[in-house]
Amino acid sequence: MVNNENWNRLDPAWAWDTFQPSQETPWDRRAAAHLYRRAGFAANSEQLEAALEQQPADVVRQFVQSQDQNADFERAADSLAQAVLASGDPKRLSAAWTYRLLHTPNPLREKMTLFWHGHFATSAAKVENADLMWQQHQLLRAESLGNFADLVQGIAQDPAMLIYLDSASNRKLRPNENFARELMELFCLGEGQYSEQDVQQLSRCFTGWEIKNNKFRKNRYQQDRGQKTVLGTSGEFDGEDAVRIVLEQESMPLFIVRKLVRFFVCDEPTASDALVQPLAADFRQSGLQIAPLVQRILSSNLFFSQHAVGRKIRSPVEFALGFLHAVEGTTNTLQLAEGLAGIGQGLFYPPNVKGWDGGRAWINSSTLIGRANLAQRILNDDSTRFAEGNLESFFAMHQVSDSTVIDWLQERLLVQDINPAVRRAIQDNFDQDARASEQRLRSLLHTLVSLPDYQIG
Amino acid sequence: MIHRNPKSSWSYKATSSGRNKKAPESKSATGIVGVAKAAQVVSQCSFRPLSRKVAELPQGATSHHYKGTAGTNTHNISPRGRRDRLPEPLQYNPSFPHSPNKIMMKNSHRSLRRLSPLGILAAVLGSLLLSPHQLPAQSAAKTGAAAELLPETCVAFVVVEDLSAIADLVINHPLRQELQQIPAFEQLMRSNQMTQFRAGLALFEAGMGARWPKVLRQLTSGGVFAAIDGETDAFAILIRAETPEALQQFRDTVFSAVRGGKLPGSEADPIKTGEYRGITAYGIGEDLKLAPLGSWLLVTNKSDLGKKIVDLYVDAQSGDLDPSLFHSLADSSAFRQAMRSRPESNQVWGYFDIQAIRDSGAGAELYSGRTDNPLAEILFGGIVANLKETPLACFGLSLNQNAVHLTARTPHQQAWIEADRSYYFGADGRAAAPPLLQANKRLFAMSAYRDMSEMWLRSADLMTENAVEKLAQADTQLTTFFSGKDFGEDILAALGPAVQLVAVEQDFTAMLPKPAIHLPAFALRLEMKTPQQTAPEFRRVFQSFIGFLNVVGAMNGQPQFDLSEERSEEFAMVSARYVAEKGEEAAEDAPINFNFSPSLVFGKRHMILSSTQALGRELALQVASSASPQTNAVSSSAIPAADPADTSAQADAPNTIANLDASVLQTVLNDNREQLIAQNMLEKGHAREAAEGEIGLLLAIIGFFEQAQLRLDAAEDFLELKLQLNVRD
Repeated sequence: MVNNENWNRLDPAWAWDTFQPSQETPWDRRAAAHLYRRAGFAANSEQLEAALEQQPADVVRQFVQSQDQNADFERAADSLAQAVLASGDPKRLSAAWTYRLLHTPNPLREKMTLFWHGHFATSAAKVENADLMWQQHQLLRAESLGNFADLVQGIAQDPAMLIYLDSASNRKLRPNENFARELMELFCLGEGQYSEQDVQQLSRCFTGWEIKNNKFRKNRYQQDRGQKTVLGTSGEFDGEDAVRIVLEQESMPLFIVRKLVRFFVCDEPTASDALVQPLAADFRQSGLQIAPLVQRILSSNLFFSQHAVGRKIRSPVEFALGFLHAVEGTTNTLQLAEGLAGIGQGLFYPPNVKGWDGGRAWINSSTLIGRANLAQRILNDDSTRFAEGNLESFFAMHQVSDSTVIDWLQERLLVQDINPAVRRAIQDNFDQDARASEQRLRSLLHTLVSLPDYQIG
Repeated sequence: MIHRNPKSSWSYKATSSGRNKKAPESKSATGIVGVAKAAQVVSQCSFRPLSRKVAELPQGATSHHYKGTAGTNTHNISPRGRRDRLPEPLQYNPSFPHSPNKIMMKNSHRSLRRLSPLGILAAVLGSLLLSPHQLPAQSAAKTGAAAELLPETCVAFVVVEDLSAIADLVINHPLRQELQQIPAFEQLMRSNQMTQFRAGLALFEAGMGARWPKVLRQLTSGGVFAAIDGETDAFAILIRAETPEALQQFRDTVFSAVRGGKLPGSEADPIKTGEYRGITAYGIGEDLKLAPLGSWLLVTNKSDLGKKIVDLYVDAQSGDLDPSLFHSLADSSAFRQAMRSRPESNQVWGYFDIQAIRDSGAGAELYSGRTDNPLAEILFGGIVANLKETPLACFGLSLNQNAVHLTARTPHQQAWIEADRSYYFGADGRAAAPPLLQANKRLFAMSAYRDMSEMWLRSADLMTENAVEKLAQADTQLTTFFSGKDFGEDILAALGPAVQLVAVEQDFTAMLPKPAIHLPAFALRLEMKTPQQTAPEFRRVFQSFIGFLNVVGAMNGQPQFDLSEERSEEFAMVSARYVAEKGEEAAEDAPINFNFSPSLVFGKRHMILSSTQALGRELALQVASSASPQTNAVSSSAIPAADPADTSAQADAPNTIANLDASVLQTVLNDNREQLIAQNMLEKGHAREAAEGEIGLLLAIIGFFEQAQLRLDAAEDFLELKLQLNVRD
């Protein structure tokens, strides 16, 4: 059983060592499906079979390296977003990103972009400018597996972020503390790692940074050029210096690594300093490169252990895209994006500056019903297709019959087998369903993704 | 005598072992006799001329006389009763306060109420697709034969006499070859769905032993007839083949394909069979039932309707029926009325029994005569007023190599049009539209007679409470804008009832900044009754409005307008143009706002409100150079004789006329191809290549057409809507 005590007793060396399959923890479809769920959204049959032909570490390496490939898809997706931007509606931009999540050949990049979107949370509800949201999104995607320092420097000058934090105007006589506070508390260090005086001093560094005509600029007349003392360091710092000083703090890598471990490994409990220290040290050593850090987490013993498998609650995006990816589904992404917002994860619309809380916060009586309804809407939508056909032809193509369809689906969708009694009830219901085959299969899929078991990823 | 077995039902039993298998139902002796006799009749498969019965039916008959074959056991029964469910012997008591006939009508109405208003609207609008004339006697007999198989409770009936000829026309059309050479079409043909379709078609042709056009000819030589039954809320399609053998082969081929397509491991037979009065019926899935009736093939979605049709078929075949008292669709007054004015040369025709639909309460919103949407009222208010009273709507479709003609016609009386809608038809009910406006690269034009002032003032009687509320709010705001003058009584009343709308393709070549989305420009032309008083008022309001937009825009970070004035001998124009942001002067992806440079143009008696300066100026110069069009002078020189829509307007003075130019539409859509592809990808989840293919095909197909013309005529005794779609030469 996994609990806090077991978790805190974990040997960090074992935890982050590269996973080698064994008889107890084999590299099978379930393990490969786990990797695809976490590094992306879910695997389809072809991906699962291909993964089993390789070592897990090699599959993870491909996830990370594929970022530099598939330029054609990236161009097409960017062009879709540009076309959508012409309408000026951020909600359509949300649909364009949903489209990208559904079709991407680079799932890890999208997953990391989603992570940073929640980390550097900025909502279009306040920014009200699709172009600026897209501009920030491009920064997050470009640096999603790049250099963390570059990412933070970019965010510090990002118009959407500064508008969102009411920092579009920052004058020396009245420094705006919002961005300075969030930079330390939410973006780099975490609570308890700074004082109020640090906030005041840091905010002076950002004076003169403003957004004019939707563009970032430094207003030298409003810049406080005086001496500042930030986190124990003194000098005539400007904004770039301030970001550098924050990034140099010892607690910074621990904060980021812990958040990534929570995102990829398990929602609870929180990883101790001792557990994340080796990764934090490597992260600092690499010059804050994100890709090697993510690669090590995804290749680790801990990631494939009982401490990680089935220890996360699917976010709405993981919920919907999970089953669509598994059955090669495509659908109306305008409707899907709206549905995701309805159950708590509107892309480009995080709830507040802290982003989505995640974990247990994803699920309550309302969102659970909402998830089932969203799945129903997707499956009832005429535009929803599976490998460009219907579900009946999809299963026929994969040689899946009425008697094997539940096994086939649960292996790909669920962390573990359904309770036998529930399974029997589902099978009986499916067998007695007298409707046309397509309707029966869609209904079965809906039943499976509405189970509590499927909400665990 | 054929007794209807009360236990007999069109229930399905699987032909092989499966979960849907049911125990065979026991048949009574009389039932067996009935089955045997019916089977014999089916094998003979001959129909009497049916038009005779229509003529022989006494008007106002309310009951049927059911004559037993034994000659001694004669029963009166309800003409439209659920005979298979009634215990025998059947008795009809004429003194019963709720006669079966009435009960059936009530049931029919109840079922109709389940039809959604949208469904009814779609059905009625569907009727706008088609046109009435005279058919030769032979085709009347064909139609009559089908009508005698359908229950009287049908509320819609469609006839396709020669489906094969329509298919031949499409297949042999010169544009078909052109279509096949379009890359997007080739791409579509290579798609999984089309590959599967072609494989299925090849399988079908192999099963039938002939190519599909020949099969179609064999299967539909006697016509295709479709109906919607109000009582059962179901549809039925009757197809009459050359021979019963052809149908049998068709059935075997289809069933074989269906069985071949079931899921591996699935044990259940996807084809279920059942028997009713000796007729074998088949079910595929939940919503498709088939039954061969001699050389007829019956396709329906509900067993209840199937049974009614089988009853009519078996009874007619057995000769046990007294034709003078027997009621089928052929006996209905709506059908007879539709037959009297049925199309002459249309390949498809039909009618909707509007009276029955209306009486049922279905689509009550449509017949209430009130709308929620002022624009819908302006466009369709007159038609809605007609549908509130008219007994039926006939429609017809005719196709030839050059055009598709769709016509809908309903009986009409001036007395039906209440004073509320005189704004639509004029005081005498015959008011005519002004000519269509001409413009360079014209995309769309519409002209209509609409007295907007009267409509505005009578809105409380025309629209729903909600809409009236909103109009009242708008009225208050507009009154403020117009310096306290009443918008309906003072402002709109200063304008004539001739409304002309035009949309054109915009020229973006020299425009900077250029918007990312290229919208057409559009303009509205109105006549001023007292230009000297009205023009300054409108000019002032226009300027105030632009100022208001600038204030609101500045608060929301939107670009600002710059006002300017232009005067010439012919016109005076005040217009506003968006000012580009610094550094964005040469942008080619500017916001959508840059499509607009709103302008107000004043000529001698006319006022043009245009979305762009260029269109406003063009229309002003054009109107000034031509004779001022009169409200009722549809023969204005502004309409070139080459424009067929306008030519027809000259002859008949329509109430409303519209024209859409397909080639300009194609250019406009092509200009926004990226946006269309993006929309397709988002809405359908397509990959870019598939979306490009679909949009490419859409654009290519639009390119096959020349123009679409629509006109609404209000004659003394009918209302007619015509749509003509011209195919490119």
